[in-house]
Amino acid sequence: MVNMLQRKIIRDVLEHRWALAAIICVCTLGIALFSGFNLYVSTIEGGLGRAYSRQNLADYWVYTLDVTNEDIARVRTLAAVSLAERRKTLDLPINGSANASLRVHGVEGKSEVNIPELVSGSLLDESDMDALLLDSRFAEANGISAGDSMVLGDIGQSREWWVKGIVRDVEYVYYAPNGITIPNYQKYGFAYVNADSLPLVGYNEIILVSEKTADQVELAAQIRAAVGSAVVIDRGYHASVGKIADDLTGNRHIGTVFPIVFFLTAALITWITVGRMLDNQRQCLGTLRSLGFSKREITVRYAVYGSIITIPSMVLGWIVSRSVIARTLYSVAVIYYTIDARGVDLFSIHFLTAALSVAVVTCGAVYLTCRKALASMPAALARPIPPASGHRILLERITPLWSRLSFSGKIVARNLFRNKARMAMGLAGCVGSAALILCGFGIMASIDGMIEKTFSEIILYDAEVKLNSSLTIDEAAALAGAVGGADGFDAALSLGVTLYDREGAAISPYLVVLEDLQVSLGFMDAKGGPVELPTRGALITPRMALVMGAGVGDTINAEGMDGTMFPLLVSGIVDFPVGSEIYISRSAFMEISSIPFAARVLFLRGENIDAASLSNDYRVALVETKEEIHGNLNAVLEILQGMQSILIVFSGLLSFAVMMTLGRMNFDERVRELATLKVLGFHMNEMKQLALRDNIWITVLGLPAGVAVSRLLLGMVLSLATTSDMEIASRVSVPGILTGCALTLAFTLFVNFLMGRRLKDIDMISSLKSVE
Amino acid sequence: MADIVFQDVSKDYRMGETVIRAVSNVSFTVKSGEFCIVLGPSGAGKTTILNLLGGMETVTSGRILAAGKDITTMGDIELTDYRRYEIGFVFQFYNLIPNLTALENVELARQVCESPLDPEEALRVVGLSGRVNNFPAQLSGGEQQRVAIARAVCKNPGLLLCDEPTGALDTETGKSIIGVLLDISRGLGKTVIVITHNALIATVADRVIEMKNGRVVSDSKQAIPASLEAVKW
Repeated sequence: MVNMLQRKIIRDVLEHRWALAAIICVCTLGIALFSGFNLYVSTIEGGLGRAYSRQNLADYWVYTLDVTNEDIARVRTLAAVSLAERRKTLDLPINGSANASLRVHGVEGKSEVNIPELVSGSLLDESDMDALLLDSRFAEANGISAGDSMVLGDIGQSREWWVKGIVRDVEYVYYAPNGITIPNYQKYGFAYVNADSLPLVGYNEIILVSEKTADQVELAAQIRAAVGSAVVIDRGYHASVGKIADDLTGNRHIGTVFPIVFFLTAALITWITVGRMLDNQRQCLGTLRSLGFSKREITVRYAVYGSIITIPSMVLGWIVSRSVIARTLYSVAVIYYTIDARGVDLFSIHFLTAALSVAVVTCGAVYLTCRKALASMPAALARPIPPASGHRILLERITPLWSRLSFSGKIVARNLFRNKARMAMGLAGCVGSAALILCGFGIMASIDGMIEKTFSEIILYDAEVKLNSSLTIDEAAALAGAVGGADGFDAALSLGVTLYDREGAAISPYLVVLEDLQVSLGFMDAKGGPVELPTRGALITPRMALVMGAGVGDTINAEGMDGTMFPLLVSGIVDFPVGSEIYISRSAFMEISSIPFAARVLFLRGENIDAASLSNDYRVALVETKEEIHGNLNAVLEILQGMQSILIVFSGLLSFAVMMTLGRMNFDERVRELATLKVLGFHMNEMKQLALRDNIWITVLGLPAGVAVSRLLLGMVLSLATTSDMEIASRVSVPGILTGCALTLAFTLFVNFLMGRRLKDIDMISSLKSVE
Repeated sequence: MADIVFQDVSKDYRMGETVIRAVSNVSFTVKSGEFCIVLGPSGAGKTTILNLLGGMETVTSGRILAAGKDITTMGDIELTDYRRYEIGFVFQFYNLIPNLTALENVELARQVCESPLDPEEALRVVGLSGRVNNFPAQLSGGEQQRVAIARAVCKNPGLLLCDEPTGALDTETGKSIIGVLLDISRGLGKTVIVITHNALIATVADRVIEMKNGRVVSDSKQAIPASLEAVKW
């Protein structure tokens, strides 16, 4: 049964329905943004976590030349090792094709580490000597199903295999081998066979699961002691596991920092509006108190304001976060990540955190406002609050300026400073929403800037050719010369090396040896100044400098695949946004290594290069034109760009809702003054000048601060989004700033337009009747 | 300012299904320059008469002639101009703009007129020349009402409409406000219409229109109004 007090409050709510609707929108956006990004990340992380534990993902990958029975037995006896398996790993070309291959793992019996998960068909028996389990993505891209057969191996050594099952593997969630930028499932995949079906290949890899308490550095040393020289890679630096972890960490950081600022702005607006609504109920509170209602009864009844905002915001926020934000990002992610795509989770803990925060903000505002008001005696409450007293503002002391202001200018200035709290809140709302919108545009400009810089100043070649084996410079020249449209080339030697970072964990970048006078790659320092390829020492990226804790003049030790050590003197740190390579000149390399320079990579220059002519050359592993690399980089950035678009749209909506709420509140609180002006015979345009111009001033004053805050926010977001192979520098884009500022101002003007229409509807009589 | 003429004026308010007749077939004439008091208890329709005359409300039927024009045929823009140039309003609760000083509140009105009086002169007329730079919150109720009157007078309108101008004031202050209004009427030759439920004030007026239940029950011209000093309430 609804009592009279509840009935009164319900009517109040109906009266304030538009203000409440605006607040519900603001809270919905806050909840949706905060929980949507995190729901996406936690869906992927949760799915991966379950898959990692179901398939028993290895903690370490050990690469060595020959793993004997004794070696593996010794590894298994190590206290920190709970499970270890050896396997034969090799890349086999598909049907003699030069640039498509499967990474084949020959395993002993039934796998207990990195257990392949069957999608269709059946698993291998020990007696299957010509059967393999094929990568589900590769099978899908090439139209292969269980029961089909395929030919693997080089020409002359090829062999037919029967596809017994189609599988997924947690090691291959993101598989982009040979330095390609994004997965190409038509060309690259993996397969499992029985080890005995590869009699000529030795065991060269150990995968192991360690005890959770194991010390990483110590364990790596023990493994090396057990098997001799070996490269030990932990999960964090594994090509797939590490890459996804980096991606998700970046996404989570953007999904936390930005929405928190967003949420704070939304919370501030909610707090102000709810607080003011309750302030306007002051006299009612006095009447209720004088009728004998207890403070508690009144406060509890008014808490309905909190639930009226929280409950719809929760429901709408949940729908938007899941169906719009998380689903959009997830749909992009499943293109690149091989995961069991069961759709977005229902909830994440972030949703509850966000909803609880909304409840705390709204109910907190109700509680504190009621408590403050109810602390007065009922008689005091029943008296109207005296109107804010006018006083002279600082500007008036600057006589030359003040005397130049028009009369309406003076009124606007006084009105702005009359209620400092309102101005501060208006400014905070404007600064917050402008900063968010500008940050969204800043991310866009920074990504575009990074791409533009990469392709106009850093990548100066037009096609990159990766070779299957080393060629002499003459052979390379002959190969390049035969390509239609190529008018020049640079050869490079690219070696996979292993470095150990500050914590002793292994990372595996490429060491790229370039001709001293190469013109295919442009190097520059952080300020954009050109850097020459030094004849002594190597160039590294700022990301690697950070991970290695190395600066110019330090020496880092890189270990080649065969155990050769390369002492690399850091002679410069260059701004190279994508990739994790170390660059060294041929003459600098000669000083530290006896490996002869040979071509493994060719950088071709020329317009309209006929890349297709190389695709059937058996010496060529991969050809990528500049346009393809550009397209691939765009694809890598797709999730980030998706996030950036969501941020811009949501910030725009927030900005509009904030301006609308502040504009309405300003209007509603001055309706009596406006009615007086109307009675005095002021025309609409004159009233608009007096009444609505301060909204524009608040926006104009807030925008510079919004720009400053957006720079800070952008820097923070981008530094958090930096991964080991990608870095986006914060970039100031004048058109972006102008667009963001123009949008914020446009929202204010639109709100003023709407409020201007309401001026017509002000009822002069009821507004002036009594002091309420 | 020409005479004010109400001809058979009625005003209905529709509240859902019910129609409430606030003013019913009212006719009267107020001569130019008269100090007229509209008297009556609450709900008699006095404020409706003032609102109709001030162009803040439209009639349901009948005609109102003011400033030589029929204001019942005017559109929104014409009514705004009518309020702007012909009418000065004084409210029961003053309705001053809180962040403007007394002088600035008066200047605000001057902004929208064609031949305004000097604001300082207007404030002097109402006896407030000493506190022109104070904000409303720094003034007493009586002083605020004087500012409100000065604001109305400054526009130099032909007609001054006052809705319970003494309603929120004590006796002495109320009396002084009526004194100011009388001075304006007699000194500046303005038509002043004051609404009140206080019958004692009526003795000082040139004309007293008494209302009850939306109708005019009496309309009398007082040949020799009482002097303000003699009035006690």
